[in-house]
Amino acid sequence: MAVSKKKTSDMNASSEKNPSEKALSREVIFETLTDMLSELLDMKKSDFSEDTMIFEELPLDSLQLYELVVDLEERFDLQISDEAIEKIRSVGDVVDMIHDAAK
Amino acid sequence: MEPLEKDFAESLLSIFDNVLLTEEMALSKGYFSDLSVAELHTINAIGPYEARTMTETANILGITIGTLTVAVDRLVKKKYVERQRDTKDRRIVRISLSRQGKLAYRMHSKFHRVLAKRIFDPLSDEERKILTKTIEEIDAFVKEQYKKYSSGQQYKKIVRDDTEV
Repeated sequence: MAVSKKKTSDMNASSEKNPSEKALSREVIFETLTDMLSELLDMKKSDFSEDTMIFEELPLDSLQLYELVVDLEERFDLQISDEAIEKIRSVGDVVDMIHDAAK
Repeated sequence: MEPLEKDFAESLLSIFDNVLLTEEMALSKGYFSDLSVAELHTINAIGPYEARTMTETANILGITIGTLTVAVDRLVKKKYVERQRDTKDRRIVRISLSRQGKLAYRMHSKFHRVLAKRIFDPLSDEERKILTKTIEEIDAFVKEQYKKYSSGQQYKKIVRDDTEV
């Protein structure tokens, strides 16, 4: 499986901080993702939309890409494979990937 | 040795040497210049997800727990690996990768994927199948030799009987 949820038992602990523990809407995922991207790239949150092309439009090098992947895995309790990363084109693709895996 | 066989043997040796050299070079010039290739392989054996026991990791790497302990001590110091005691059985030590360790794991795996893709891309499906099968056979043969050497048999006997070096 390209993207999978890690451990369902870990998802039950109640904490407001971890977005994986509430019903994951696309909006919540987009908010978290753009928070991470703006911090990683030192850009404004308003610089990103779902249509932003990650590799063409953002100054993201391969280390920063993996920083994003590792942080997304941690935050949403997921395992993201290399095959899934290769399919990513836009910010919206990342939102879809996490949304589908969290269902 | 036939000329083709000689060319093949030389190429094989050259691959062993150059993959190692390239990995070392890529490491020293990259983001993880404080890691050695051996340390990177330890990181690889620990893996990016569930924590492993020392015994599991030592088995994957084919090294003793003592050797692994030294390697893990260094990686903990460099902040690539975290060590925890099992909550139920305090005698069991589990190791897992830190965020920095996970990044090194991802970058290293990318290096190998790029290498494989570069070799695969110009080949037809049929050529890819043949190459993969051949590589798997080489891998199995080398593993078999390794097992023989590490099983306590006499070095000279194995060399004379099997590999004719």
